[in-house]
Amino acid sequence: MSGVPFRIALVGHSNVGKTSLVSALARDATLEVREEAGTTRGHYETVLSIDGTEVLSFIDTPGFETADAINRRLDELGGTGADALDGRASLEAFVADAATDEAFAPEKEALRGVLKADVLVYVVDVTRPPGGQQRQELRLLRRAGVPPMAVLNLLFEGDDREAWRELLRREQVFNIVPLDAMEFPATQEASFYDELAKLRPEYEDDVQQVRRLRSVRGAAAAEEAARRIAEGFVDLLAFRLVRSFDTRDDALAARAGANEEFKQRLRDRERLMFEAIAAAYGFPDTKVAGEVLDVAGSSGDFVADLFDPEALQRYGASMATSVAAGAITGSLLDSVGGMGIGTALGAVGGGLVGHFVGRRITVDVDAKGTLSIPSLSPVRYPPVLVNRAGTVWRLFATRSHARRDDVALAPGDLAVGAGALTKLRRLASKCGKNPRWSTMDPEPERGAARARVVDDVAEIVRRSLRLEEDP
Amino acid sequence: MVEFARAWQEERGAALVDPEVAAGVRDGDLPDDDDDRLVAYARELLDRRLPDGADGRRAVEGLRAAFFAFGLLLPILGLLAGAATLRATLPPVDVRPVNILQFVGAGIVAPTAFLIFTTAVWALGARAAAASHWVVWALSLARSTALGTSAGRLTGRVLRRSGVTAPLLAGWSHRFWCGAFVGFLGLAAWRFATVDHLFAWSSTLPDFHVWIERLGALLGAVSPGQSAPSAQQVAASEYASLEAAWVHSTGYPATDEMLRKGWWRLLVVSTAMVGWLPRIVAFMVAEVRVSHGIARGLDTPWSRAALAALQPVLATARVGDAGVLPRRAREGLEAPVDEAHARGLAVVPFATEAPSDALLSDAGLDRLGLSDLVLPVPEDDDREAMAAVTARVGDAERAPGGVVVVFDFAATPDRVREQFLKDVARALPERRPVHVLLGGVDRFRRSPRGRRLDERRESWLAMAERAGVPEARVYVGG
Repeated sequence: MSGVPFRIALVGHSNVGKTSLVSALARDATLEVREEAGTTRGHYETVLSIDGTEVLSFIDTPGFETADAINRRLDELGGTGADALDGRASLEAFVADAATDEAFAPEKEALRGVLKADVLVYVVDVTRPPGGQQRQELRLLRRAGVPPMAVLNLLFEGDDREAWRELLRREQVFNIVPLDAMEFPATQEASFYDELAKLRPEYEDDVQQVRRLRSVRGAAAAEEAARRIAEGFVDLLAFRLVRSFDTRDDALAARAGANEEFKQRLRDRERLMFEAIAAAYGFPDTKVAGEVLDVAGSSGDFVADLFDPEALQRYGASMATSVAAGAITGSLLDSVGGMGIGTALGAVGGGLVGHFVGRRITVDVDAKGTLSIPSLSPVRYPPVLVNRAGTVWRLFATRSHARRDDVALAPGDLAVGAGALTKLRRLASKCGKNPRWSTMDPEPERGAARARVVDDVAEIVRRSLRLEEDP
Repeated sequence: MVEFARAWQEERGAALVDPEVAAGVRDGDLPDDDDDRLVAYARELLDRRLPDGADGRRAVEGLRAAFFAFGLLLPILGLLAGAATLRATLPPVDVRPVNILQFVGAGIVAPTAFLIFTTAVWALGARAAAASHWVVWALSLARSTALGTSAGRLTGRVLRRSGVTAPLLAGWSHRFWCGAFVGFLGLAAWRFATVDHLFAWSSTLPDFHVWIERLGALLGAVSPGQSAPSAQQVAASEYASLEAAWVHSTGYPATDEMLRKGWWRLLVVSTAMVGWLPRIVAFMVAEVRVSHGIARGLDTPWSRAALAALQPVLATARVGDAGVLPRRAREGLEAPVDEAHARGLAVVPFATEAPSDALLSDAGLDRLGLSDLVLPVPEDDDREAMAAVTARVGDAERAPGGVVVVFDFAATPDRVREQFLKDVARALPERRPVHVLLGGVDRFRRSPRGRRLDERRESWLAMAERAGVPEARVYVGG
């Protein structure tokens, strides 16, 4: 590590996804990205530091749009004969020439970034074939005398990557890697860093440091996510709603409202948990669609109502077990009667039993006018909550920071092992007996016993969902 | 038309004719003909108000709604009317028999008389001045503003000048009557098959049974599978005979069957053959005349001029919602360029392939009058080609009627493209339009950028607007 960061300028035509790539590489989801030319106005550096030392810097630049005109201008500036400027000198002269500031403002900003860089990464949008301006851009960049590589962005089946490879080779760019900013698979990112190190071997240590940093930060984010899930788990399963009224009649009248309030507070707490997971992975502004509870409907993509029986069933809650048990019983009847209807009846019956027996959201009103809603069922809800949170975790852990759309929470297939589930249910039961462990309680209690439960839940979550591994 | 304009102004409390726009027309060469002045006014209006594409969309949606509503409503109304007519001819069972003459009058004579009348009127070339008004009112329902109203008026005129007004209205009339026959005959067949109605005739005229026999013979002749009633059946069906039989309760078991089935099948089948079938034929003839008439009408200079003025209105709707108009409305509304632009539009593919005929057609550009002139700019750094195109379209002697610049939707709407568009618009002689066609949208949609298609489209529209090409002249397709 030399103390001077390894500077990588991302350059290319306007609107090819340079900022998206910087977002993905730097794990920064806050950079402005739009489907519009000229979104990036200046050249911006995003520096990665390790222990306070700047190791690597990504220079995001405005896109080129009129490279042909600049090349013509540079040819004029360069002159001929003994006084002729070399490529880099002519670029510097062009950047310094105030007369052309207005006409070429974005390009000049880009070239300032180019002149600072140790490596140029020419970003290619393979959704369309290369054109004349792109050839001009490569010609222009060659003048800087900075080693170039190319990144093929926005890959899809039927894209123009082969035409691009041909052009790039013809223009003497031989280090070419596919790196899709939106999908951003780890293997492509690794290849990208390999190529960088090949181009500038003197920075290989820095590149390796960054790769290690990625791994360390990934583990830290996973640990943070596990703790946030555990905190949410305890809060949600310990929460009990109690309201006192002057008369029993008042309490009875408030039942429906209290039920709704109870549900809403749980939903709000769950949303906070999702936001915390998102923040742990560097997505502070990303919304989780489907987290908005009461989005009901069996055919929609966002069926995520915590209290929707179908959602519960899909998340592997106890009702599914009941359905299966009922169906098995029914099939025994079928084997005797050969009717086929026994299985169906059994499944329906089992499902109903599971639905009603497992249901614990009841509103009790005592003779003194105290209304209470007990905490969630420790049998039904632990797998529901962990699966939902685990699904959200996986979505964020694998998400490119270039993406700006909402995360869609769809029923996941994450399965918690039987052993882990038993432990979670036991811990949930403890939470239910200690309503003040919930931070939603008016007088929350954050003692050592609660901390131990949080630790235990975090450990189970970490292991059962394998959060410590880079997905 | 003037009366309508006045009524509109009074109703809306707003001037239909914008003074500023009217002044713009007056500043130019004012055409002698009323209609041509209207076209000039509309064009001026469009030039001034194009940025508000919502007017155009509302206008087109109003037209679509009007066509659709009429096409659907008329046969439904007819069906209800036919069923009601049949009910009126049916007395309560066991109180009176069905009057054969009433049935024939309602089911055959009256509709046939209307058919003859309608055919005669249209055949004599009568024109319906109201033809344009329904369009205008449809547009007013769609809350269109002056722009849409102008579009409506022009559309109405185009329909009338195309000579399709008569068959169009006749077609609607036939549509209604076809529905009426379905209601009349359907209910009749059901009732007669399930309820024991007797049939009778009555007259104070002497020897009227002879006429009934002749009528029966006529109906039998036109009804396949049905025989004419016998003299005995006609005599037995006289109301007086039936009445006597009922009064004395002797009954006519032998003739009951003859009195019922002998008549109802004949009546139903003959009504279908004499009333319904000619309506269906007339309806088909009217439809053919409408489609041929529109095709012919669009070839007239006036139609071309009027529809060139309307074109931006239609294009506005097309940008976001291709295929919003029923086919016939499209045929009537999209048209070649006007006479001033008689040379047609030149196509300029910019760093992309020349557009296919299908793409031009889907975008509706073929109807604006394309010339054979294609001026490609092969690469986006080929400044010589760009300069050559600009010079060619600006050549006063050889300038095309307008230009369609074709870009790849996936390309960045960058400064090179924007500048080129500005240069072309500036070079073209005054008022000749520049259109932008964005191809390759389907491929873009399949690409990872596809989820942000709207954003990219907005970006193109913004670029075009900066270059002076209004949203209404930007077409997205392919």
